[in-house]
Amino acid sequence: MRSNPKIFNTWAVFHILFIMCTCSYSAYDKYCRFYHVKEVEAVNNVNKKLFFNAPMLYYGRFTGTGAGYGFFAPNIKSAGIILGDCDGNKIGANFNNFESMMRFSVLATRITDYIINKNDTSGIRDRSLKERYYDLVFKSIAVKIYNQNQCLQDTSYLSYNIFMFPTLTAYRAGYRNYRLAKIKEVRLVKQAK
Amino acid sequence: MIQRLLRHNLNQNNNNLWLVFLRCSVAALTLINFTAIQFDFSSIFSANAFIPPDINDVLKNPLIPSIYSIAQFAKPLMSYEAVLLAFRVLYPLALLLLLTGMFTRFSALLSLVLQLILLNSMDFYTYGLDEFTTIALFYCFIFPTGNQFSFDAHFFKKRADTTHYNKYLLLFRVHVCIAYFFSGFEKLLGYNWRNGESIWKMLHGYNMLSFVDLDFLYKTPIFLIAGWATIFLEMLYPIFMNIEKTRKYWLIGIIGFHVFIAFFMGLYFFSCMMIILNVTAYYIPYPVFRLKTIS
Repeated sequence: MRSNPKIFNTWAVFHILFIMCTCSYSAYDKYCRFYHVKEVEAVNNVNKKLFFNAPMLYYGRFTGTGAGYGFFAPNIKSAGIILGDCDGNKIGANFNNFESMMRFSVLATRITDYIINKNDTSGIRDRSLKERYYDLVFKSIAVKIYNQNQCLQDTSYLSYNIFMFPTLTAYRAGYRNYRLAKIKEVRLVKQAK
Repeated sequence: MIQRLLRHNLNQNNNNLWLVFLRCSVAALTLINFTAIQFDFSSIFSANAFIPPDINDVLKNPLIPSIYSIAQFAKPLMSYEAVLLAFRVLYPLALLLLLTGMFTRFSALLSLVLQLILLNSMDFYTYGLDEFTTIALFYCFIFPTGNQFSFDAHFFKKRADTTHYNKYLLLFRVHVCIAYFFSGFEKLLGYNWRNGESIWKMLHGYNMLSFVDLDFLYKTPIFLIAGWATIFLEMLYPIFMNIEKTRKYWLIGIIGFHVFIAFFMGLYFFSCMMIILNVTAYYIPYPVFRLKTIS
């Protein structure tokens, strides 16, 4: 395939502008969310009109340029941990590979995301529906962990916790202990077949 | 200054092996990454997964199909497991074709499409690596990555037309530079990166090397310095990577930064991908590399 230089140049300029615009908006959006600042209506409207249409969304998805690149920014989220009790032992999700475990921790962070931004209606517009959806997600995970660990006890509890380590300032002031803040808990009961 | 930069980039006598390196390394890394999750494939994708496919499908991107939606469409002909198996075989096959440079453009496009469908089917498990894999596969498709050291070049006697290679490289570099700049800029927006708390939190919440305890440094300004160093390294990337005198040091710095991420956050594949993109953009194209490889 031979590329026409003019077509390539035009596309390249568009491509770069597209990346610049999506990155700029992503930074602005994250800033507003982080500092609880209301987005300027005009900026929001321009972004919606320019980029929230099928061709642009497709383009962004297909080229990997549809989202910003601010990983772990503006803040690092607290790590989420899913823990349960099984026959007196602490249990969690079991994986055979480090990469899968890594990806599972991403899933836990997504739940943290939801808990932090309960009012965010992207994805599912109805807030109560979203709450029920994430409840279902958490219960599915809990059932899988329960089955994976072949628990013998009839009733088991699984919880979603956020790992709270003292901040650097608190650590300097002498606070040393970390704690797990329980955010959500589910009770699983074995049913007779 | 921009004109000078453009002229400098477009008139350079670059080593075109960067296209081969991009194709082979991206295909190989993606293949290894996909192989890595094979051991837990059923826990992620099957009907007995942590998040069953029908639940996952609720939040999928409506623009792209997921494995579940394809299975629903093909229900009379194939079961969900059969569609899943097809993806499990097709994706590594497409990556293998890309790696060897056989039907390169087609295999890059196929890899990209399959990757997007797979990502849409595991939306809850995706992270930065996947986004950069999409970008890299897209460039493998757009750029003539199969013109050298490939089955295409060998069997179909494809001759490399190198006229526009510098333009491709420039575009690739601009993309990498923008990504780093905004990555640093978004960190600068958060006060926790500016006071060292983010680095501290990262070391405690995400530290995969828990045996390396850096807590004893809490009284030193090391975390503050590390936070600012990350911001500077990323935000000034577009400037210092394009100045000949500083490029080498900045490249070492950024690779060191990714090695740190790999070991302290356990993001091995993400770091490898970023190192590949950096080496492709700012190491392989320079003549010094060509001289070394020939000798």
